[in-house]
Amino acid sequence: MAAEIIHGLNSFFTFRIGSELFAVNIGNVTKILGLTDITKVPNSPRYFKGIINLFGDVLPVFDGRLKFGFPEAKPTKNTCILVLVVEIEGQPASTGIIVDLVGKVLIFEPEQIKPAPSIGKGFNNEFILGIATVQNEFVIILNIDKIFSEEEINLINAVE
Amino acid sequence: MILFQEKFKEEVKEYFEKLETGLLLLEHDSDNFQAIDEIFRIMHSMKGSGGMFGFDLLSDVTHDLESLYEIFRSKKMSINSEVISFTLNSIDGLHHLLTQKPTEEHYLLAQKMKAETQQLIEKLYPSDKKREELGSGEKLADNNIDEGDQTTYFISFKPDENIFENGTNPLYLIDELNALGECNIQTFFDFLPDLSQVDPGKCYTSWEMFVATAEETDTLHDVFIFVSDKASIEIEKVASGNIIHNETILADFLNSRLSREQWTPLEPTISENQIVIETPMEETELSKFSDQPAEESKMTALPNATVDSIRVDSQKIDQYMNLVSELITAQSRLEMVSSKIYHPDLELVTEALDKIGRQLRDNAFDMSLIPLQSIAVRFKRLIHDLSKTLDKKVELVTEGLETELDKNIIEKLIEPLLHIIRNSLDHGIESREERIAKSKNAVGTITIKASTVGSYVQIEISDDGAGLNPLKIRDKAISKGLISDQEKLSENELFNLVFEPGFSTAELITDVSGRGVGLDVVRRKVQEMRGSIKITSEPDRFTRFTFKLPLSLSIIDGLLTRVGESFYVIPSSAIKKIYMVNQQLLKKEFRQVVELEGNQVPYLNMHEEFEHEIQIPNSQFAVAVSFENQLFGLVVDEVIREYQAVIKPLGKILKGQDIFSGASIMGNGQLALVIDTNKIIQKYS
Repeated sequence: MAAEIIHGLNSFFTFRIGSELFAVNIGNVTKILGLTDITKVPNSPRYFKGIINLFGDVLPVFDGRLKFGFPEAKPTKNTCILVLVVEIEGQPASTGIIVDLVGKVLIFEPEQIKPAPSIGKGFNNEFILGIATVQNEFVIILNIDKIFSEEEINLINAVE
Repeated sequence: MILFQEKFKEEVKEYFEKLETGLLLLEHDSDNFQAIDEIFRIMHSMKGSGGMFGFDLLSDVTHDLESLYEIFRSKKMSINSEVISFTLNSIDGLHHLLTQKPTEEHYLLAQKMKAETQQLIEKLYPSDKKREELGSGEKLADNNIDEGDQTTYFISFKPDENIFENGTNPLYLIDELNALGECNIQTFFDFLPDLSQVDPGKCYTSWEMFVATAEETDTLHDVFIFVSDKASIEIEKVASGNIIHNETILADFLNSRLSREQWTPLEPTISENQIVIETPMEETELSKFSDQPAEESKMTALPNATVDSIRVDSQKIDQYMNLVSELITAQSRLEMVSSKIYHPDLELVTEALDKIGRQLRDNAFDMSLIPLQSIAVRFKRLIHDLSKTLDKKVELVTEGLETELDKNIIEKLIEPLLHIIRNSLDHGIESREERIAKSKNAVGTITIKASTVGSYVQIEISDDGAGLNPLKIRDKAISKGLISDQEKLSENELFNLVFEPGFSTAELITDVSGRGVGLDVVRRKVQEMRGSIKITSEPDRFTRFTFKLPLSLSIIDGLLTRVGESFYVIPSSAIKKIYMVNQQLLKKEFRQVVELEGNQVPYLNMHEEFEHEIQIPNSQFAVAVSFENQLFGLVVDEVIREYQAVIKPLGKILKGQDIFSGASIMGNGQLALVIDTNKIIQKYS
């Protein structure tokens, strides 16, 4: 399955994990799946949930809550797997992330996206592309290529 | 454009292969004019499209090579082995020139190759130089030539309406003709449909033109060489001399064409002695010309006759395979539903679908197989080159090369096979003198045999050379510290020592073998494909390497097992025996071993390792797998059944996880991880 990243769009797909509203560029989103049984891969970090069968291909799935430092929670009927295409070693690769709730598609013009505050604790700023506001709520726009970057993959590989 | 360039590169690689095949044919049969023609045609195509896509150096060098082959094509002399070797080397050089961003190095290489080619041409056919100069003036439109040397031709060019599809611009061809001499061109739109029906991707134009040129008819035909099967081309001589401004003659000619009369080329009225010189030349030209239509139709017929296969992007095949396995998965779900609902009609459909699905799977599997024949040229080439370098006469005997293997396996197999052949030639086959002294045939033989054995393919490479000396191997192994001098090994075990890292029997490291890649690398590569390699030999008789490889990398026979709530597939090829074990048998203190049939076997309790649970079922199964004669127990909770697993790669994100070679989709759509037994043993033993 040849998934491709579509560049140059200013539409963003929002979703919730824990108490926060996140967004990723719509060009990186390929599918939204209901939560299915996930085959775990032994000896991988906790935030790596395992693999699923995505139309005949193997899709790795991450737990968004654990990945972003939220407490683990039982899945609800709104829990979904968001399928994203990210660039790994210069090649597009599909990956899934479990989110609590999917939102909608919003358009942010570049001037609406503000840089993330560089101080404060919790979330790693490197993963954030910027912050936008929608109906008095902050939307954290994620830099997903960074989140699933090589360093991160090595981390999975190292824990065995 | 980039897309076209990539396509062109692919195409050129194919051309190279065809050239090699042709040249190797010529080696045995230097009068094979069909092969020479083919080589010439490929070079011409390469020159033309190379220039078109910006591979200028390639185009430039090929131009000279083409001139070289013109000598053989025009039967001025026959080809010899020096030229064949030279051309083979040039092909290697052309490989390097297949670049659009040439560096200084590339320019130097091209210059060198050109110079060498010119030298060779000069050596073979000294008087050809002048002709060559004329030939290279092809593009320069040399209009200064005395009109008396020119001939006026009529050319009718009716491109096929699909001509644009392979990227040809007919106008370039017309330009090229225009460069050959003075032209009078008429364009026809007879086939142009109504505006509403015009497809901009199609060509509706045809041309008729008169060309007055000093070139021969061959050169005119060459202009159309790429499109000969995509257009109807007629070339006819109208008159000697440039009569392009004499409209009466041109009109007469066209009238005779319309009334389908035979046109007799007009001879100019020149002084007597000139005619005497000219006549014989005219005759040869005429005879050539009368040959032309027959050859033309042969050229057009050939591609049509041989289209019994199509080229498909390998990605498409992979995609097709994926879809088929999706279908199989959906099918087994349908089966589950059907058995629950139990409706006779549904049952019938399910069964029919099951049957078709299975056939489709076999069919898809079949498509990803390619015959070994496809890499045979590489073997032949290697033997050709090496037997020259080493000055050993060697004959290659092949058998069963039609045996098919998964494309991915073939790709990975090329290097190991070439390595073994290199070894056989360098170390196996003795020098001529030595062979005669041993009263063997002075010409050595290398045999490549392939066959399908069950779900494996067996490839044997043997040479009738010196064979292996078990005592020598033993001494060497002891001196290298691979074995102790007390160890008693069977002959077979001794032979297999050559696959150990750091072992090399050749006393001299020659240029040919010993490139730092040893037999240990060959064995590792074969094992990576879940295959095996064996060696047998008899001193002074033969050395034989036997490769055993799975038919496919993507489908394996396995054993479906359960650990906790997860399923794992263990490849059947590695499994020796399955034992039922309880906790008392699984010793953990001091050494983690399990006693199986009186042997202490190291084991890995997958439940313990993968589930991180203390509560381990009392009764478990130990699947004994082997790795290089070493037994290892994989302890699982349950052995379910035999299982044909379609292996899916885990993808980049999990690349570092090396104990699983992939995942397989089970009937219910769930995934089972496929264990790489070699890796797991290396890791835990």
